[in-house]
Amino acid sequence: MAKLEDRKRRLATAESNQSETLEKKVGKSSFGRVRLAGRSVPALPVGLAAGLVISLVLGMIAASLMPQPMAWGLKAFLAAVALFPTVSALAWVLCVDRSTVEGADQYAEENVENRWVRQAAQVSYLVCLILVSLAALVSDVLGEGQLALALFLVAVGMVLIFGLVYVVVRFGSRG
Amino acid sequence: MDNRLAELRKSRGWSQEQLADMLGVSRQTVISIEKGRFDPSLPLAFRLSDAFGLTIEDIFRP
Repeated sequence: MAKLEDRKRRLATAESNQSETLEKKVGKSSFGRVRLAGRSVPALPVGLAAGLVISLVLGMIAASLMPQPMAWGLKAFLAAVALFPTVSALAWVLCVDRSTVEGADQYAEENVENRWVRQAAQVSYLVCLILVSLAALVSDVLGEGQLALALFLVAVGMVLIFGLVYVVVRFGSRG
Repeated sequence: MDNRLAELRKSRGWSQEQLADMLGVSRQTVISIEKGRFDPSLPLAFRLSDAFGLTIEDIFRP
């Protein structure tokens, strides 16, 4: 018991020192920080800048593919504006150091919410597969051949993607 | 899994939020463990035992 108490005290002291050192060095903020070229910088401007560049590139690609009779520059601008919020948010999520975000759980991967998300993903995948399959069957019965074929291909695609991901996860988890 | 987490936490005067902060997890995780609806990961179980100064077997009952 004395050993456990001593270990608890040393653990608490070590964690407190580590936390204090980290906070002194980089500080926590609402949007956190990111390590860039060896320096710790605010993550929000980095996310916005990356989002701007990526959404401009995607906007130009989208403009080249859009059939609408409109000036190419205008199409690219509109597509970029539409994509900017989502792409910036994604860029921020991918680059931020979670340990520098205020209120973020240190061991978020161990939260019960993660299990809920996994279970929801499993159930929603199965529900979607069943609904798409049933819709294909009903469409075929009602004589909507093309729709039935499209839905059937979607169901097959879902099963193939599951198989591919299963193989990746299985072989990726090998020691 | 049955556990004495709620009883041990209250005996130390800790709130669920305080314990969650100590463990680095969400308050909902602490609530779910206390109600026996969620089994903690092994690292989390060890951090729980360290937080209370008890062994894992003292806290959890299979």
